Amino acid sequence: MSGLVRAAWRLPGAAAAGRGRAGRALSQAGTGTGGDGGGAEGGGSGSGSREAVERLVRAHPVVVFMKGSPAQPLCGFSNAVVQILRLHGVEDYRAHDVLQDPDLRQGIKNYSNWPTIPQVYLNGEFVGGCDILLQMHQNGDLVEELKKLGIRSALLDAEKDQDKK
Amino acid sequence: GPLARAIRAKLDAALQPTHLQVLDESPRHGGPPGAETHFAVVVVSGHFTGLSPLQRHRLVHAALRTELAGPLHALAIVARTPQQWESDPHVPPRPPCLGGSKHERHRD
Repeated sequence: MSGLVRAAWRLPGAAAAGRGRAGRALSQAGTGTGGDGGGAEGGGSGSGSREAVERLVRAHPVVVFMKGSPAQPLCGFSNAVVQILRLHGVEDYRAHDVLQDPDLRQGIKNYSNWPTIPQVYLNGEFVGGCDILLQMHQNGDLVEELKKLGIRSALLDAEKDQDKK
Repeated sequence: GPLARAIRAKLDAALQPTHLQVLDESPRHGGPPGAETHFAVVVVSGHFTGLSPLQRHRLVHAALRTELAGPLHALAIVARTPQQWESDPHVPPRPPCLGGSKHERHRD
């Protein structure tokens, strides 16, 4: 598994940082209000309030607060989260770019009582940052947690393919 | 540097680790050597027994609350019990920096 993770750092996204502001798709999920970066409630103030953050973390089974976007992460740790989710075939999730909204950036840290970004929420519950997600990926816990959310990890199918060879 | 020493002292006091590595990774994140903004710590301590990864990380954060509110911008954590460390004394590869600090208008 760790070989897969090492390879993940070389996937597209790892090389594409800092090329400008194109393609800032802050929300991968198609429907809904978006709820990114203060847009949902019409402005910067209040977007970091407990209620606002609560709404964001409950809006989707998989919610990530990061620097940059899944298409263009702006921090290695945030990119790690994106790449791990991608390895599991999870492309439909809510991603919020805290660099776009200082109130949200502080608000999410207060909400989870966690000092750093990225932050991953599964089913509204704070799971941890990049280190913990990496651990969960390596020890199989992430596959299990995704299964509880009704999400079938792509790695289950990948393993099946490997068994057939 | 001074922050590295402070981090080491705080973790020693709070967690009495049997093994402790404090690494200034700031150069890997676009800072000059000795910038002391991004750190990685490997903490092996019996205090972690029975605790989930989240709880372990929170213990480390609690010990470094002052630093995290100040100059410590990012902190990568490996937190294992002595038994876990004995059976696996390796740390996962660190993700490469993508220059995130350069995109910030102001610090955390």
